[in-house]
Amino acid sequence: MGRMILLKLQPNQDVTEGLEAAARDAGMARARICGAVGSLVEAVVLRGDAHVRMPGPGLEIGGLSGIVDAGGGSSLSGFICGTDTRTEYGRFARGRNAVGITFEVVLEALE
Amino acid sequence: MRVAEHPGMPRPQRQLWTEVPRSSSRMVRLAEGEDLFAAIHSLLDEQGASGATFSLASGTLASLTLMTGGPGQETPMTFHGPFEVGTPAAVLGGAGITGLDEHGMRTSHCHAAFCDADGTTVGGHLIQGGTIAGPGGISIELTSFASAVFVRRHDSETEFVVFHPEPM
Repeated sequence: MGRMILLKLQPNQDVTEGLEAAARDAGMARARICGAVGSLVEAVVLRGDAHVRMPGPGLEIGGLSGIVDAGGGSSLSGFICGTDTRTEYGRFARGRNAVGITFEVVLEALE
Repeated sequence: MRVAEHPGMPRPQRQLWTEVPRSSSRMVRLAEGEDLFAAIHSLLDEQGASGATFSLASGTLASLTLMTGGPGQETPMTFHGPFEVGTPAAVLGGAGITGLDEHGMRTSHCHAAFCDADGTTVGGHLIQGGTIAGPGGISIELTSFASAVFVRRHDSETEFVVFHPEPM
């Protein structure tokens, strides 16, 4: 397997931007998400051109997938579990998904 | 972007990370009747691994209890539930982290989505003893680590005890 890091994002930073910042700090130009568990204050995902907003607070992220691009070209998608167990799926809108309590991630560098 | 007002001061470092010196990945099938977290902890004990991340790939559950997040009274967010899910439930996807608790015992944090017995998609936070494999078992991808681990520690910013990455 490639070079790997265990990562925790602190609250109130956008998930996509926080992952990109961590990849830059760790010297990973591009990285694959091997695992990710965490919460959001609220969620905005894209399905086609539509923005789907899930009000929080306290949404749970599971199944996040995609490539983290330290240069800012990341595209991440996954599902979010609501406060009533309802789920939504889509591509994470940049700058719209603040970490709630914490976000634990395992990143593997792509060479 | 909507943010939360946490009780503590934000720590200056916003991304905490540690390098994983060694890792390996494999597909594992858990047998009917096995508890998801207990089975993963047992596999990691056998391997002598420090921790792991895992993805739920497929399978059915005979018993499933979920918690969800939601608004809190003394903190901006807290857990709600438990919610019993109608079974058999089919795995749609999910991800988890296995690390150590404050006493050095293995503990897992996993969020996942399922199709319940009525065909409704549900998801949330899984709990120890609340995810029991059904007929045919559950398949997971297990990526285990050596010499690095997530450890549950108090986070003064949020006042929650949560996983922090640490070298071993």
